[in-house]
Amino acid sequence: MFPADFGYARARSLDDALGLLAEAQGAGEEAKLLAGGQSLLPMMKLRLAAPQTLIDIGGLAELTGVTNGDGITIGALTTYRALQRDPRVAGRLPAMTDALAVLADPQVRARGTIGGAVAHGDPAADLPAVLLALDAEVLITARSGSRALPLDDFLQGVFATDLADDEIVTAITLPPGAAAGSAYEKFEQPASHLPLAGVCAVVTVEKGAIRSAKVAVTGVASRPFRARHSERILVSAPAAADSMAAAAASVAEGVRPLSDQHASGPFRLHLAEVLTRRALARAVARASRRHL
Amino acid sequence: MTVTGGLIGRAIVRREDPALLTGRGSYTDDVTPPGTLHAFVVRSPVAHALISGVDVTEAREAPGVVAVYTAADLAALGAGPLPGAEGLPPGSLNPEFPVFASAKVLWAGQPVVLVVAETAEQAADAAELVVVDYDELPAVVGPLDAAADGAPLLHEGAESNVAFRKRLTAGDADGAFRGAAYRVGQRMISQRIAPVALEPRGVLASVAGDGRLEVRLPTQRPHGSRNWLAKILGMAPGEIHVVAGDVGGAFGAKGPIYPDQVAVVAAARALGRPVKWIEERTESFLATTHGRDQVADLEVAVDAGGRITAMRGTVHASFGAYFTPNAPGSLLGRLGPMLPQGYRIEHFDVELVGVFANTTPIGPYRGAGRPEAAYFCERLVDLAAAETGIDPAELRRRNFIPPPAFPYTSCTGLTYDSGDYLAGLDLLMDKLSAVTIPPPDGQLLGVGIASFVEPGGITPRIPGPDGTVGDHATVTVSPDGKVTVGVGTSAHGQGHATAFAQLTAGLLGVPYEDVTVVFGDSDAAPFGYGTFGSRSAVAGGTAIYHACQAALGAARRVDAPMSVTEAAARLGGITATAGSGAPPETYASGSYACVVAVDPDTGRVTVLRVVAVDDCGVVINPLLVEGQVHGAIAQGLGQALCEEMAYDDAGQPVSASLMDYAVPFAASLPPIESYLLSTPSPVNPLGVKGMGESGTIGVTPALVNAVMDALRRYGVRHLDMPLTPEKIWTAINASRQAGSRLTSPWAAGL
Repeated sequence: MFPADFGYARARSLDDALGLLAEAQGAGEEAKLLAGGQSLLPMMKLRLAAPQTLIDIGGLAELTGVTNGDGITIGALTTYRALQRDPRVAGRLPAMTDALAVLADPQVRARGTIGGAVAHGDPAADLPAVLLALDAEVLITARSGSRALPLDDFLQGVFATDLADDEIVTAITLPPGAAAGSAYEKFEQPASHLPLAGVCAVVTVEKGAIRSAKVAVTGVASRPFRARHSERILVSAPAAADSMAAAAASVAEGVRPLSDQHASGPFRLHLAEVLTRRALARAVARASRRHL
Repeated sequence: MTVTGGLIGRAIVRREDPALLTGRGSYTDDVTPPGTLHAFVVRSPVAHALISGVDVTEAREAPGVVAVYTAADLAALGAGPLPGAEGLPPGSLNPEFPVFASAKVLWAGQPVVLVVAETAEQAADAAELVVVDYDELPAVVGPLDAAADGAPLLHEGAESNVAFRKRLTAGDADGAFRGAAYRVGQRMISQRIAPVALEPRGVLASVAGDGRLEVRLPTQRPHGSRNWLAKILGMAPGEIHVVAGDVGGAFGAKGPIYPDQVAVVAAARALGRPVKWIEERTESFLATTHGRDQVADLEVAVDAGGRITAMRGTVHASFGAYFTPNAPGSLLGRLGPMLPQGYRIEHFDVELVGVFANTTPIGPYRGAGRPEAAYFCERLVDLAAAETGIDPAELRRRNFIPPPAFPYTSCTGLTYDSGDYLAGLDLLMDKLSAVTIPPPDGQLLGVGIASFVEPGGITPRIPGPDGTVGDHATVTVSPDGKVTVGVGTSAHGQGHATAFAQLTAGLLGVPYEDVTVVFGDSDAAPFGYGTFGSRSAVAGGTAIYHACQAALGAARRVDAPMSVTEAAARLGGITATAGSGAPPETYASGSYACVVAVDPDTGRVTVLRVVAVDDCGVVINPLLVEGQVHGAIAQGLGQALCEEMAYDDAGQPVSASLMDYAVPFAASLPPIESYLLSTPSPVNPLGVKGMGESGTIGVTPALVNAVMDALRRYGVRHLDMPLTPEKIWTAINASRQAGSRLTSPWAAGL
C-alpha cells in the first residue's frame, strides 16, 4: 500500500486553501483537498487515485463546528464523531444519530468529515440520505465568490458532483423545520459496511395523519435520491402501516438499481422497500411521541 | 504468584499476550537491519495467458532500483522450481511449479517480475514501469467446469485438468443402496475461502557474517522451510537459519514456502544486502493459498430402523493453478477418509477427483479437509432425519460408534483411538434445552446440531537430521533451577509458550514461572515439523514428555533422592533431548448447536446461540482450548455466512479486498457457550488429542442445519454457503407459494 509520489501543502486558512488550489490549477497539476482522508487516502494507497498535490484543509477551525441560527449550519470539516457528540444533533435530528451510529467504524468516525461525505459523491454513503431527507443545502466557496445549492442538485452520479476544481465545500445547512420525527435504516454490505440500501424518513404527524414526509434512499442507485413518489402517497395519509407499506412499495419507482457481486438490482430494490417501511414506522413513532 | 503442582489442566492466562497486545511483538516487518532493500512483486493481472514479452529496461533505470529479476534471472541465480505435491496416487499429474512465470501465467496474481529498490515506495513505482505482454487465453474457475471435457487446459502436455482420480471403497455400497429404505443425496459446495491472517506473509533475508543465509519468515514450519529453501536454492540446510519470530496467524497458509519468498531470498543471496518483502492485503488475497473449493455429490443409504448403512458419490476438489506440497493430502487423507465421521457406516464408495483451475493455489486451511468432510456428512444426516422423520439427535445416536467399540477402524481405514460421542451429544442437548431465547418479532427461529470427529497430531514420515522420524524437545535445567524447553513444533498464536511451560513445569515439578519455552528458530530449537493439523500437543507434547522423563531419570541417578532442580545444582545442570517418534493420530470429537433467527423480509441471519461441546482428551490448559474453540467458530461461521473468494468467468477475483471479502466481525458473533468432556487418548503418554480446528468443523454444518431448519416452512431443502441474505431471500421468494409444508422437529422442545 504505497501511494504514488505527491506534493503536500497545508492550508492555513480558507483563503490560503483557495490560493493553493488556484496555484495548482495554474501549474496544470491535479490537486485534491484532504479533509479527513478516510476515502481519499485508501484510494491513493491502492493507486486508484494519484493526485499530484494534496492540499490539507483538515485543521481549518473556520470550517469546523455546528451553529444554530435560522436552521443548523454544520462546518464542512466537522467530523462524524463531533456530530455524534453534539447535543443539537442528537436531540433534534434522530435520523442523523441513527446514521452516525452505523456509519463505518469508530476510527473512520473520528476523522471523516461531513463535507468529505458530500463532496466524495459515493453512491453508497450513509449521511447523504439523511441530509437529502432534511433538505440540506451545500455552501460552496471559490475565489470568485460563494454559492449555495440544494444537495439534491449537488449530487450528480457515481463519484460525480457539481463541484468545480477551484471550489471548496465549506458548510452544510439544514433549514428550520417543524418538529419532525425521523429515522435512518440501513442494510449493510458485510465487508465494507457500506449500505446495500439505506433509507431516511422524516415525517410530521398531526391528529393521526401524516402532514409532511420526506424519504431519501442511498446505496441503491448511482446517487442518493429522494423518493418523491412515496412522499406524495404519504402526505395526508393516515399514519398507519397500510399507507407506509403503499409508500414503501413505490420507493424505487423509475430507479435503475446498482448491481454487483454484493447484491443484485432486484434485491437492492427490495431492501429499499423493506427499509422504507421500517424507517417510516420509526419516524412516525418518534413524531407521535413528540406530540403526546 | 508462583504456580506449582497440579499445573496440567489449569486455566493459566497466556504469557504471550502482554507483549503482543501492547505492540511489543516482533513480527517480520518489525525488523529492518541497516541497509535493507525492499522488494515489490509484479504479478499477472490476468488468469490465463501466454507471456509474449517482458521488458524491464525502464524499471532497471528507475530511481533507487538496485535489481530487477525475471523468471530467467532467478533461474540464473540457481533458484527453482518449488517442491511438488506429496503423496499423490500413481499416475497423477504433478506439474513443476516455477518460481516465477516465464512462458505462461495460470492465475491472476502469479508472480512474474521482482523489483528490488532502496525503498518500498521506489520498488512500487518502478514496478509500474515493467511491461509484460500477455496473450490472453480462456480461463476456467470452478472444479466442475475445470474437470469438464473441452475445458481450457492449464498444463502443457496434459489431456485434461484432472490431476488424479482416487476411489475409496469398502463393503458393497451399491448393494446397500439397493436394499435401503431411504436414499438421501445432495450436491453440496464447500466454497473457496481465504485465510485472511491478521499479519500478511513476508520475508526478510540477509547474508550473515559467517556467510549463512539469515531468513526471517512468518512460518508454521521453521525447519521445513529451511529444508525447502535449501533444496530450491541448491544449498545445504545448515547454510540457512530460519527465524519465525512472532507470527500473526497462519491457519495453514504459512505452512508452504512460496515463490515470492524464494525470489526474495535468492535476491538477498545475490546482492549481499538484506532484502525485505511484505505482502499487501489485496496481494494476499491473490498470492496466499486459499482453502476448500470442493463440490460433493454424495448420498447415504438408510435402513428402516434409521441406520445409515452406506455412503457413495464423488467429490471434485480444485487445487488452483498448481499443487502446494500437502494440499492434495487435505482431500486424499482427510476429506475422503473422514466422510463417515463418527458413524458406523460399513459400505462406502466415493471417488475423489483433484482438478487444476485458473485460480490461486489451494493450501491447507484451518481443518484442511476435516470441516468439508463433516459439513458434507452432517448435512446429509440432517437431510436423512427430515426424510425418515427421525429426530436429528436421535438419528445421530442410533448411528454413533459406541464407546466399547474403540479403538475403532473406520470403513475408510482410519483407527479412531477413543471417544464417547453419545456423552458429548447428550451434554449438548442438555445445555441446548436449558435456555430458551425467543426470536425477534416476525423472525424465523432455527435450530441445528452437528457432531464431528477431528483427527489430529499427524507426524510426517520424513526423518530428521538424526535419521529418526519425530519432533524433538530439549529440556535444560540449569544449576540455578531455571528451565528451558526447546521444541520443534512452532506456535503462531496457539499459546505454546504458556501451555508447554505448564506441561514442563508440571512434569518436572518446578514452578511455572521458571520455565521458558523456545521454538520458531531452526538453530535455537531442536528439529521438528512445525505446527499444523492440530499436532503440537500430541507430537510436541510427547517429545517434551520424554525429554522431561529423561531429565528426571538423570536426577534419579544422583545418589540421594532429590528434586530435579537440586540434582541440576549438584550436577552443574541437566540437559535431556528426546524425540516424539511417530505417535498415532488422535481423534477428538464434538457436538455443536446453533440457534438462529432469520428475517424473512431481508434474509438476514442472526446467530442467537452457539453451544460447543468438545472432547479433546486430557486438557493442558482449558483457557487455551476455549480460545481455539472461539477463534475456530468465528472462522467456521465466516464460511457459513459471509466468506467467499469469488471470481468472474475470466478468472478475475472480485473479492480481493477487505472491502469486498467479508470476514465476520466481533460484533456479529454471539456469546459462545463452550463445554469440555474428556476421553483421554490411549495412544500418547499425555492422553491429549489435537483440537485446533474443532470449531471450524462443528459450527459450519450446525449453522447451515439451523438456517435450513428455519427455512423448512418454505420447503427449502438445501442452500450452498455462504448463506447470504440475498440467497435466503431468493429461496423464500421461490418457494413462498409452496406454503408451510414441513414443521421443525425442534418445535415441541424449544
